[in-house]
Amino acid sequence: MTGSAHGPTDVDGLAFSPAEDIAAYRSMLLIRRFEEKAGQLYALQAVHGVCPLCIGQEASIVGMVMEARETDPVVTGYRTHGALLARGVDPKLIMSELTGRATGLAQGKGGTVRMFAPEHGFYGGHGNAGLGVPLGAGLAFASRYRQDGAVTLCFFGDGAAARGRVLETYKLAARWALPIVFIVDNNTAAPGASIVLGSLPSAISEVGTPFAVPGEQVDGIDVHRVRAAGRRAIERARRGKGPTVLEMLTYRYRGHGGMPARPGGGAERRIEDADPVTKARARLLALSILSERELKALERSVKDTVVAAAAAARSGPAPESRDLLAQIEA
Amino acid sequence: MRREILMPPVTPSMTDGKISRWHVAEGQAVAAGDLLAEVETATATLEIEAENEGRVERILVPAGTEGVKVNTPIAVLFGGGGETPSPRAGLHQPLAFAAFEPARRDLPQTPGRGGAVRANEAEVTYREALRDALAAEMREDPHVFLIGVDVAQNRGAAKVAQGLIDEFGPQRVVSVPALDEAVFGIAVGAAYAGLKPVVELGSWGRSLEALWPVLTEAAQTFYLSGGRLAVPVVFRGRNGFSEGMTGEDSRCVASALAQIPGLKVVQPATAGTAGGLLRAAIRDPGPVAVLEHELLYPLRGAADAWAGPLGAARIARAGNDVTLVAAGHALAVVLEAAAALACDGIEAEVVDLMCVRPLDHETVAVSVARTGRLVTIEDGWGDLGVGAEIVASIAARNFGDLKSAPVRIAGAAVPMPYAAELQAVARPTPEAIVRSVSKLVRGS
Repeated sequence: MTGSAHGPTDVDGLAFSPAEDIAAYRSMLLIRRFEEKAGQLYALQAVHGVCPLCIGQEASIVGMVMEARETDPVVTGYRTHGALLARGVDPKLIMSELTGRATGLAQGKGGTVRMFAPEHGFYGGHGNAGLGVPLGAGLAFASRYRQDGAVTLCFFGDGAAARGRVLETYKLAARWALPIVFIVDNNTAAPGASIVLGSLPSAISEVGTPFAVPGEQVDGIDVHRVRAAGRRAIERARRGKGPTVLEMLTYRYRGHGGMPARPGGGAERRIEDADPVTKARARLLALSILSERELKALERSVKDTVVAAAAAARSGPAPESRDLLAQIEA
Repeated sequence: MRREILMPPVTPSMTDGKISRWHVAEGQAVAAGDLLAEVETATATLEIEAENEGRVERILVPAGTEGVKVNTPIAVLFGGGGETPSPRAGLHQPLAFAAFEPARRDLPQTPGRGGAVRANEAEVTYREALRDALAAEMREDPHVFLIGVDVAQNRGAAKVAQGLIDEFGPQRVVSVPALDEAVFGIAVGAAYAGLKPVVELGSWGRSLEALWPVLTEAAQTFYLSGGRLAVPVVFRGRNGFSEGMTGEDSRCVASALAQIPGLKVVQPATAGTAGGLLRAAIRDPGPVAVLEHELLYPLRGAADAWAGPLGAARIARAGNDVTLVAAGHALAVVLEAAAALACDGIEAEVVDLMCVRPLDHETVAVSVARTGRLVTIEDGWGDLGVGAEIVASIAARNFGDLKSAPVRIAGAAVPMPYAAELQAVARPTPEAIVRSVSKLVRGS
């Protein structure tokens, strides 16, 4: 199942309708603008702690979520904002959580990492590297137990991909043929292990092989290719054939909290050829799905949404000190 | 091949004992590790396991027989080799669910521990009480399932899950290999999705290494999600001392777990309370740790003697001279000490905490207000422990009631050592409790 760096993508077999191309671009652009705004608020110290952004990884999130059903559970590591937005959670709730407002998704208790929206099938938000992986397998276990036909999307990063708990999970997921797709965003920026897109080989997609979990490398810059790979993996899982590892080759442009991802500013050099949002926009123009004028209108609307979210996040009420001891136990 | 099963010595000094019950019937197939019979002496209870697979050809000594000499043949086992019994045969039938097993009524009436109380069909072991509670909750709620290493085969000392596979099948009695980090995480993830997993741990101390991250996650998710996601998972298994086991394998984790907000920590001490506590734990909307104890599993008591919410203590023995507070196995030790103290004319009130988080300070305070004296007993390390918390609470609430300074008795602050002589002095004994309490009450 493992392919080259650009994978057996079978893009032709998965034509997007014009409406889907527009929806994919809109969703990716919303994530991009949201993350840029979050980075600004972090620089202004309106967001504190950490603020892991997913700029550059939008296609791998949006392509997978587009292919899944609304009822398919999603779980992530500590990089939550993109998946929450793709799942349709109100940007105001997310941004207000980043600024620690009572109006935030977790009422100012969770912050960037601890966000949960079970009504959108979003189950966190897990700071401990790789911990979301067995938890995701637990969501898939529940689907198998209930026979509800759902497939769990489990996102994590290349930094977590070799954790022991991840490998243990592969073994059990394969043994039980759990309906789950493991999506590794190889954003080439894991602390202490940076590689540069395309220049060094990576075998994360093969890590599941000893446990009989097949894997595939996917061009994570192209939302079409992501969705095509997602379709293969999700259908396989839904048919009861078990899990797949999808290694998304992406390129994260920003560090945690808006700082550069890498010393030396290498990010900017590659922004033109490895930007999923730019790529999707160019496609809309090239295929005459939207005119430049229509694109500008769409981009204005996205910008307005993000500006409104930021305004709400800055003006929302702080939690009351009496909330400190509320809701400790269910 | 025929093999005689001999009456074993429960303790090195034992000469004879009683066959209190048979777990198997003549003609029944057994697998290695299955329970055959229960042997009682005045001070201890032991369960005899089959060493090999085979079939029970004859039972030579009927249940209820007293004064059976050590090394007397008590049964004949036939088999081994090719006669592999079906994994679903074994002794599951005789042990199956006391509450609705009419065959149990045919068991001979036998004197209970101490000879005062007659056993009847409503009396169960701690182990059976836990299993019956699991079975009852699984029957009532299809979301409840059991997961753990070999829970279908239920090897190991606990054998709480014995027979559950027959009623509920492998979908709900989920046997896993010892991939702890994945298994614990999968259980919590399943609870995220609204299932109610009960995770069986081989040993709390040993499991903690892999369990800590997911236990933390399960405990804090409700709070940190702003109340959006509850995590109804139960972790249960053997906690604390186990004979011959060292370090973390013999560690009591009660006070460590009691420091995690969002987690409830239950320590059942008796067969009568164990079932009700486990049922309450399974019904709780949040994560609950249930700390069982190896030495308690064979002990008997009235079935379902307690039902109620988690976080309430109970008075296990009434008295006016001193308040003794404990939970779990330490409570059993304290009750033994209290009986000895009564012979000396000291009437101790014994509070069974049942839960160490939340801790029922009120019940302890009411008792101390009457007795004026407080002694806390725990198997775990005393520094910053459960007793420390209770003493601090009582110092704040009952300062004026105290006739003397409170006393804490706890496990020695060492990793559990190996030698039997060291293990014996590393944890609270009835004798040590009697000495401390006598000195406290009599002032000498």
